[in-house]
This record gives sequence, C-alpha cells and structure tokens, in this order.
Amino acid sequence: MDRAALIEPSDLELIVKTGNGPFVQSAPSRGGNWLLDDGVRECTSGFSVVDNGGVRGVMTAGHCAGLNRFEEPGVAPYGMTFKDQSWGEGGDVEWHTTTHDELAEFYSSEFVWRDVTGIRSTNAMVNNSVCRYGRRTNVRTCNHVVQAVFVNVPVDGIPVGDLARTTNNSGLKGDSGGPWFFSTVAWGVFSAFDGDGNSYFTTAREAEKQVAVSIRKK
Amino acid sequence: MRPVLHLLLTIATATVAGCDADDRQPSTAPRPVTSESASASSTEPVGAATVATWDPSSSAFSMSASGPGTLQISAKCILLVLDNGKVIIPVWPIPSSMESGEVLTIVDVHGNETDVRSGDRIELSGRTGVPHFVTPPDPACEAEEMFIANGVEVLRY
Repeated sequence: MDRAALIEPSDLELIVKTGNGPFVQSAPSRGGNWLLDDGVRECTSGFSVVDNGGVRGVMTAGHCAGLNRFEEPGVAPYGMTFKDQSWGEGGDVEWHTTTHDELAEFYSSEFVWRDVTGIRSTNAMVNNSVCRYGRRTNVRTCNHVVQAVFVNVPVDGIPVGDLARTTNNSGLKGDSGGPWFFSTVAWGVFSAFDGDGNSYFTTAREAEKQVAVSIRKK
Repeated sequence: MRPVLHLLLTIATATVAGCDADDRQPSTAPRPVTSESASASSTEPVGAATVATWDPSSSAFSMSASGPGTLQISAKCILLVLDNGKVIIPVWPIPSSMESGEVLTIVDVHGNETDVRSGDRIELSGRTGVPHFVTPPDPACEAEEMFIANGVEVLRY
C-alpha cells in the first residue's frame, strides 16, 4: 500500500505564525552569477566583499553599467544597489549590495561553488597558472598564465590600469566581472581581452584598494 | 528608464572633453544618450543610414553583453531594440560599413565579417558608453544609450 494513503488529513496540523520581523531569504549571493541591467544579463559577479562599516556586497567589473538585479540560480532575480566603482587608471572594478546575504563563496563552474579562503598577492602572480569562470562561457578554464601585473592598457580606447595580463582569451560576452582564481584563492575579476589573444583582470588586492572593500574569506 | 538626451549634446560633451573624453561615471548615473524614434518599422524603405564607428586598433576590449535585441535600420539610423524595450545605438568597430541601403557588414575586432539586416536578432559584446568616434551617429538618431561594440552574434531565436 502506498504510504501516502496511510496519512489522513486529520493527522496533519498546520500552524501559521505571523510577525513583524524581516523576511529571511534563503538564497544567498555568490561570485560567478549573472548580473542584470533592466532584465538583461550583462555581466558576471566576481566575489563577495565587505566594507569598513560591515556592509556586504558583490564585486564585478567597473565597465558594467546600470546593473540592478542579481540572479542566483533557482530563484527570481532580486535587487542590487550600486555602491562605488573604479574605471580607468585605478582598474576596472565596482561593487553593489544585494538584498540577499553575500557569502564568501563563488561558482567555479555552472553548479559548483567554492569557499574563498585566501587572496593572491599581486606580486606573486607572474608566471603562475590561473583559472576563470564566467556565466556566459559557463565552464571553468585554466589555460591561462599571468604574464605581467600592474599593466596599463586602453580598453575600448580608455586607459585602464592595475590589470594583470594573461595568456589566452577564453571569455565571451557577459563574462565581464567574473572570478579569476586558483583553487579557493581569489585572484581578481575579469576585465577585457585583446587582439593578440590575451586576457586582462583587475587583481584582487588592487580591486580592494580602489573601492575600499575586502573580499570576504572563510 | 533613464532620461533621453540629444545626440548633439553627447557629441559636444565628448568633443569639449577632448582626447580624454569617456564615460567614467557611476553605473547608476544617467548616461549620455541619443535618439531617433525606434518606432520605425523594420520594413520601411532604407537609405544610407550612418554607421557609427570607433577605432579599435591598439586597444583591449570589454566583455559585457548588450542583451538580445532586434536590429532596426532606417533611412538615417541603425538602432538595436533590446528585448526589454531599451533602445541603443551600437557603435561598430571600423571598418564596419553599409555598402547597400539594406546590408550592414560588421567587422569585429578579430576581423570577422558578419552581414546583418533590419529585423535580424543580434546580441553585441562590448560595453555601454561613448567612444572616441571615427564616425558619430546621425544627430537625428535617438536612443537611451550607446554601446561600444567589439563583436556580434546573430541569434536564431
């Protein structure tokens, strides 16, 4: 006999509790998710951050414009609010608060997220391999080696500094702002590519300085 | 919805700023915009619409997405009407051009050519902003934003 058939309506007790407290959101914000501008999937989130006052948010690329919604898989897109940006000589980074909790985690592939346990020093990047993930490409790619740091390069004609240049371009439109990492260590957020097949990201430490936040760690 | 400004104002602002003209501003700020009505039907006769262009040489390129939309080529303007209703003016990399009044040949920053027509559904890579123009859009064109395009994908849906 089906076990469900053994349960009678009279066996169930439903208790409804009301109150004035905040509505608890169960879906947290993480790096590696879609960021929307008026419903358009425009960029990818990088890492969760916190400012000196304890305000939490998410970091992405500074050239992403008009972002106002965060899309965590499985729930309807929810609100986010612009806080600060650096787009130019100081790098390519901005951050936003979201209406959900921002965890020290990032998606490293479509369904898998990782804790952030460390921040890579900018000066310890050159000649080392690094991985990246963006929501558009939707795969983790690790065929990148950092060639140089503190690079200044025109992006769309605008001089942008404090970038790391890597071998290979594996990005697609919408990947801007996505996480660069190795294992569980944050390296930076995706900025650009060039005609020689290189990629550029704003390094984690310079991004933190530019917008006065800290990448959250566990 | 952001305020709609006139193209002449946008160009004048960029020109006054000289070689340092750009669009560095908070994401939430109203951005320079232009506009010709986006209500022009995709089936109306087309003339020699101005192809707004920028020079991508010696530059790296942003990787944000415009969002999907429908291309509208009218007598003067080339607009992209996004699925969310926003109207943008794409600024294409040189040497993108229109050889006829109907076919826009987009040359992306890798040198790949893509022919598109009014009514085609496309999505652009690049970023929202106002570049150093090689050719600015026609002043009669109106839109909410410009988008500095470095690539195009023709959509099948």
